[in-house]
Amino acid sequence: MKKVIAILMILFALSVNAQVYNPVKWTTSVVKISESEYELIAKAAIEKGWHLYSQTVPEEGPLPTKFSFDGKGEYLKKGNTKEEEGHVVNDPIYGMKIKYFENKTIFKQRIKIKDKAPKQINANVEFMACDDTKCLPPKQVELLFKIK
Amino acid sequence: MKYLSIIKITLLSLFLSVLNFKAVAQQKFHIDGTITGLTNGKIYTYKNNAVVPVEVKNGKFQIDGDMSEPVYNLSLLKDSEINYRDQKTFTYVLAESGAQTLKINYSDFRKSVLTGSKTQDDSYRYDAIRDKIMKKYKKEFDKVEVLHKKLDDAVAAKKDEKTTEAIKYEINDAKEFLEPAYKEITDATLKFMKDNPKSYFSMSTLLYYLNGMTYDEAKVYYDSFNPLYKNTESGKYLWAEIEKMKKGIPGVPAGPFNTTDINGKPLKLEDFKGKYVLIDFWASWCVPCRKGNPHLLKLYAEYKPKGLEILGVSDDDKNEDKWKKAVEKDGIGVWRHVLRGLQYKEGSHERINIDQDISEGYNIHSLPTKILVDPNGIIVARYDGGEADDKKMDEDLAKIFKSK
Repeated sequence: MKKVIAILMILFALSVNAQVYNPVKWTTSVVKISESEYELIAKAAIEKGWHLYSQTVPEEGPLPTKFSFDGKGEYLKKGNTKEEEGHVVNDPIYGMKIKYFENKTIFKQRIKIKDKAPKQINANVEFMACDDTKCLPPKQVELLFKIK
Repeated sequence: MKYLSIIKITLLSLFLSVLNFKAVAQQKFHIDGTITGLTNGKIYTYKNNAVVPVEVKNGKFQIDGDMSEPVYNLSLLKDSEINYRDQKTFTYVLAESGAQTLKINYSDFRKSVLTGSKTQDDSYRYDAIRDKIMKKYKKEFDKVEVLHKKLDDAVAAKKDEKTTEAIKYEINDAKEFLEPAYKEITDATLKFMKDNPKSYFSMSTLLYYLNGMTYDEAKVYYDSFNPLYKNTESGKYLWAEIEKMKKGIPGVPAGPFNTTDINGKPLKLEDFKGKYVLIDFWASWCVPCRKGNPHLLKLYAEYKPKGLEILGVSDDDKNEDKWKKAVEKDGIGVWRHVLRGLQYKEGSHERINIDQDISEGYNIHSLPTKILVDPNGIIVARYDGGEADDKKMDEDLAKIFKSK
């Protein structure tokens, strides 16, 4: 039985760009799948007009969104970080198909606990964002997944 | 266009900004709350970066907390998860030390009233001024809201891109009618800060209005603020941001650099002495930047014979290969190219050699940004992305090279 465990924290690093733009805000939650499996969920709230990019974009395209999970061998990642369908556009500048997200989107990572569940899992996400007229250089935001 | 999301940004950022402060307990606040529309249940607030529930019993609740700063930005949420899209479900109030009372309207959190905090009183006075202006432009604001809803619906219904693009154009057109409203709000905000320099509210507001200001203007406001508040985390952060405004703006010397270009040749700012140089901050992964390259090529062809140089500064330090390919593909190798010089400590996210990062010397926040430097090395103009700025750049260049 799926059990939603205590959720949420708004994480946000006061970034260098905070003066003006901070169009993507991340929140995290954890869902218990079974005694040894959990799903780590990172949710991005994207301000109107901005795009967040997929984890896979063609080699010469924009920079992909990238997750990295810290671990000291307490758990194993099961598969890749899953993402939503998003929008795929044929971008005339790059001459290739590029996938991006608008409004909000969710990334999920299934993990398997080895022995005892850690209290929390630290991760970070590196991402860039663009609107029609500008882009923000990639930045990293710490994500904290609380497992209770 | 810059004014467009000021209100939203202000709200959200203020709402979130307190979470970063280190919790060094010095003083305490106490809130006695009543709530209409909920008898027994829970509302939520943030504490140390986490959402914590607040128990409501018989329409009453209490919140206590430690304060590391003179003012505590207390957030109030209807749900355990913030819903940005429904502004009725969250708000924040500015609590001070000691006891205060709070009235919450469960069906619209924006109508919450905190009594007993001088800072919050200031905030209410400001809200009243702003709301009056927004009321005057109600028709225009409503129009934009309706169109945003239309766009959301179209996206939800997976309409094709042509349809959604058309709505986006409609939104842009409708937003133009809001420009006078945002201008009035900005003017009113500046007047409020000027009239109430000792209020914490004034200090916390300035950060979001720096965008349209010069360094000198910002400093006048900052100097007038309450020294007690200047010494807080948010006060220090504000000052650091103002200090950065001294860089990369018209009238100040261009930031010096000494680096190696895409062909391995040494290049420094002084090499451009005696010529106008347009410094283009871009990156291979920045679509709007690359969309502008054909136009830059046209400008280069026209003004190069008259003494214009272009220097591309790219945010591609992590992947030089991509950078070189983009330069080749867009045919912009006719002018000189360097990397910005972004460096990280091996295996970490900690930046090093920041003084060698060209973008730092020009306070670059977003790409593309173009900076025009005169033959004496003084910045004459700064252009962000967007049509209006492109047009301004074209006009400036035409004017400069008209007589040559």
